[in-house]
Parts: sequence; C-alpha cells; structure tokens
Amino acid sequence: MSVNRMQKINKVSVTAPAHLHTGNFDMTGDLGRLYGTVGFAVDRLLEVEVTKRVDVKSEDEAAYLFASRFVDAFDLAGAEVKVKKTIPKFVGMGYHTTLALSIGTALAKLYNLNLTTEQIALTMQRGAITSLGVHAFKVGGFIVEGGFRVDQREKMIPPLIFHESVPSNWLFVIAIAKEPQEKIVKMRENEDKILRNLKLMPKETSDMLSRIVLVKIIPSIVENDLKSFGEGLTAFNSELGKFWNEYQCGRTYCHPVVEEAIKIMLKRSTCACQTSWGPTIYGIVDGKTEAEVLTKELKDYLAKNGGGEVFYTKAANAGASIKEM
Amino acid sequence: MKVYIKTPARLHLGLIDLNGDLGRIFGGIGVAINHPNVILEAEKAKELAVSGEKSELTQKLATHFLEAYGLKEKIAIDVKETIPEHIGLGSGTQLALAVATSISRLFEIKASTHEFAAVMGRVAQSGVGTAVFEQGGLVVDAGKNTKDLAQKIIPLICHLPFPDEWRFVVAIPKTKKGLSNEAEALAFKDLPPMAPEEVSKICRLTMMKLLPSVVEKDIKSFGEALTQIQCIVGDSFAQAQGGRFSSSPAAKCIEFMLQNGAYGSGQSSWGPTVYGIVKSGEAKKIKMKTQAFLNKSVGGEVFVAKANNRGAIIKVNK
Repeated sequence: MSVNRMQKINKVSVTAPAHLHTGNFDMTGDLGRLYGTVGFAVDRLLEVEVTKRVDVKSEDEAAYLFASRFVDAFDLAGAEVKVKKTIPKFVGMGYHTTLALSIGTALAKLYNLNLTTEQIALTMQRGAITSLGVHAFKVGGFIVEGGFRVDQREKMIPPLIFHESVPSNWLFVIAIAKEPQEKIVKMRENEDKILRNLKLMPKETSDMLSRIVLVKIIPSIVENDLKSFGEGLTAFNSELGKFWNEYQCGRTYCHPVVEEAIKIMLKRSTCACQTSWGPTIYGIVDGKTEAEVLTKELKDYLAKNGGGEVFYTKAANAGASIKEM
Repeated sequence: MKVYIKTPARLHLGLIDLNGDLGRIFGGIGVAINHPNVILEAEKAKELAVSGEKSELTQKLATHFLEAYGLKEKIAIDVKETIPEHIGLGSGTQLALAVATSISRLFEIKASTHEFAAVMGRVAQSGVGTAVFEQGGLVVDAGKNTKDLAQKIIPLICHLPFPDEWRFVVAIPKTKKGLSNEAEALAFKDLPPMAPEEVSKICRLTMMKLLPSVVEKDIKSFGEALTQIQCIVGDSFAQAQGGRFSSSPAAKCIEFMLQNGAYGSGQSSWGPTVYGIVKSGEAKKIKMKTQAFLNKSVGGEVFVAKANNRGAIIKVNK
C-alpha cells in the first residue's frame, strides 16, 4: 500500500435502508430449518457517523449499547456514534438491526477489521433468527432468505436464496398508525420470549406458504407483474397474520385501526401487508399519482383515528453505503 | 472467422408445480454438468455443409435458424461431439442453442439466448436448458404463466454456483429411451394435476432445504432434499411411466447408489439416466460399484460428472 493510502481514517459514515417484513414461510422446522423470511429494503435511510476515540460515547441509548458490544467483542478503544438520520423505531422497519449493522460496519472500517456483514451481525446479536435486515443492508431490493438450521440457532445468519431489484415505478405506501404503538413496544420487550416459545405451524401451512413464495411471489417480480406480486404478498402475509393471531388479540392484523387501513389499501393496491408485529403496514402501487392518492386517503383516515405517519417511497435496490471522512 | 462452442449437459432434478392453480405450471430445477458435451465449429461457406455427428438434425436446425432470421448466406458446421438423445441429458436444447449461437456470432445477430431458444422451439416445458447453456450452475425456472401457455420466455428465478467439491455419478441403464417431443407433450397433457399439497411439499423442500444447502455446501441436506423431491415428482408421473421411475433397472440403480454412499439420487427428466450426488473423493468408488451393479442386470454406461458453473464456452477465432 502506498504511503498516501496509509492515511489513518478517523471518521466513517454509514447510510443504510430500512426494511419491511412480509413474513416467514417455515414455522414448522421439521426439514431442519426455521423461519425463512421474505421482505424488502426501502428508501428510508438511517445514517450514523462514527468517530474514533478512546472510549464509547453516544447520545443515543441503543447506539451506545451496540457500539459498546462491538468494542468489547474486539477489544477496541472506542468511538463516538452520532445518529444523523433515523428511521421510525419499534414499528417493524428494522431500526435496531439497521443501527447495529451500521455501527458495526463503521467500527470495522475504522479499526481495519476484515469482517463480513454476517460476522458483524452475529457480534451484534442481530439478524440470526431472520436475516432480512442483514441482506437489506448488504444488497437491498426484494429479499428471500432460507432460514437458520435448527441446530445452529443464533450461531448463524440465514443465507440469501433469492434477490431481485424492485422496479423503480413500484412505490411503497407506508402507514404507521399511532394508536397501537404503545402496546406493541411493550410486547416487543417480550419478543425473545415469545419467539422462543412459539407454537409450531402445521407442516401443511408451511408447505402452502412456501408454495406462494416460490410459485406466485418470486415469478411475479421476475416478470414485473405487480398485480400478481401484490396478490401473492397479501395472501402470504394474511395467512401469517392468522397464524400469529393469538398475539394480536385474535386478529389477523395488530389492531382494529390497522385492519381498517388494510381495507383502504386493498382498494388501490393488490398488496396490503403488515410488517412484523406492526403497526406499520404497506401497499405497493404503480407510479407517483397512485401513491399520492393512497397516501392522502390513509392520512385522512389515520387523522381521524388516533393519528400516525403516512408516506410513500421506492425500494432501496442497493444496500448500505460507507463513506470514509 | 470460426466459432467454437462447447456446451454442458443438463441433469433435471425435479419439477416444481404440476398443478398450476396459483397461475404457474411446471417450473424446474436443473444442474449443468461438464460431460457429455455438444462441441461444434461453424464458419461461413459457399454451400451449406454439415459434417460430424447428428449431421442431419444439425442441418435442419441450421436451416431453420437461417430462415428465421432471413439470412441468405451459407455456413459449414462440423459437429465434433454430441450429447446422446432422449436419455434425459437435455441434448436437444444444447444442440439447438449451440447451432443458433454459433450462426448468430458469424453474422453478428444480437439477441438473447432466451430469444434463440424460442426461435428454435426449445421452450415447450422448461427454461432450465436455456439457463444451463447461458450460465451453468444450479438453476430453477419459474414455469409457465397459465394465462399464457405459449409464453416464449420462461424466466429464471434462481441461479447458484454448484459446489466444486460435489460430483454426480451418472448411470444410463440400457433400457428404453425416455419420452421426447410429441410423446412427451402427450404425456404431460394426460397427466392428472398434482395435488396442491404435494406441490407445496416440493416448494418447501426447495426453499427450505435444497437451495440453502447449496449455498451452505451441505451435501447431506442437499441429498435428502433431492431424494424427497424426486419421490414426490416420480409418484406423480407414475401413470405416464409405469412407476415412480422410468424402469425397474433405473429404480434399482437409484436405490443401489443410495445404499452405497450417494447422499441423494434421482432420475433426470424421463430417464433412463439416473444419478447420485457424492463427494469428489468417493465418486470413483461409487461409480465402479454402480457399473458392476448395472453390468449384472441390463448393462449401461456410468460416469462421473462435475457441475459446470459457467455455461457454454464460446470462442470466436477471427
């Protein structure tokens, strides 16, 4: 390496996309793997700026925690983490995983550690059950991963098995109802426990979900058929909603306000899905005009029903970007 | 100018959806292997001249291609090697694409391999052969859109490099040849639709076992998934082929390979070709055992093949 390039890096900025979950297709595990996740990286970005220093410092509690975890694991000096841009928290858009991977990637760069995103994720203890966030960070776009091996739970990151760019005219209309948020934040505190004690899905349901992904959802995106793609996503996501309904007071979606918003979405989009535990839901429409109409309808609805945020965005067809400063 | 082409052969690992009620039908899984091959050389000539193996068929294919693109020029093709026909190794598609691609290079016709496959009439059921020619490796195609059964391009939905350290022991029992062309089309037409539950099982085995095991190079899981998919697909073809596999020697050979160290085993397409998936260090031993086993029954050829992870080799010598 030339002398010029040996310049020490002191500051690194990482920008990474949020993600939206569609669901998991194998909650049975009898084939030796569990979960298997479908989802998207969307163009709502998180940005961290990480500067070398002798201890760990951050005004953001979660950022401090992740930075400390990484610094301890590799016995590094420390760093200051500034969260410059953020994505909605605790609403199913992958805030914590994206934050952890961004910080870990920045620290690895600063301290010259040669690590894969998978290794960083394992160090951060994120992305080992579903790795949608890991692959959204790495490659973006539409993602299908193949689950983890039941004998390697939390020791491996599920591998990417299908990946495709989302057409730029397909816009995600995202609605985050405020009403259910408090309850979901509370529930998420017990998420690990819930996931550990989850009831098993009947084989036939996992089979059927796998078929929707392989025979309907994946071919439709390859052929740019938004109608069929949305139908597949909605069918898949609502089947899962039924499976999880005991954690949602018997509902397919997390809250009556969300249920109603899903109905509004379905009038304009064949896709209407709840991401993770919600309350975030999303539809996909073709083009700006459609997106603006649906965004307005959902805004009006939420304004009268406890409030919330509605916006539209395209997919993020690339993963994170790293800048040395 | 001379164009040299060497194609892989194709092993078919299974069909995905023989029901179609979700809007797509067929969909196949295949692997490109490095032996046997179509090898040919083409150059411009004063008269259309085809020499070497399968010259009559090759001439038909060449004439068809020249006509399809309105080319008045003549060419000479020398076919040095071919893949045996109608035994489940995908010979037809590889030869047709080799001919089409070689002529296209001579006359600078710019079109995709998908287009050539459609022009040459090679997309009756599957996009696997085209993908194998184009990029090699393990491929999964999406099947046909049931709204457009005349669909010209069957999209690829998965392409993975196949682990270098794995081998196929390929056995071709000396029995009747598999179905092809019209007979194949008829058999597909008469086939009762597979129950959605069975299709769904194949889909989950593919998504949750077969594909991850290729990424993770886990031959045991790959073999198990392959064998299970083969059994489900085979049973649904029982009516057309008189049993789970195309013949009793084929079925026995599959069983024998499984009992003698293969991690998974199956039949390629309509057979009679069968194969076992093994680790490279064990390939020779299992090949010899399988050969001895076949010699005691109907006889036939057994060889070891490696995956081809790059597709056809195309060389243009100016």
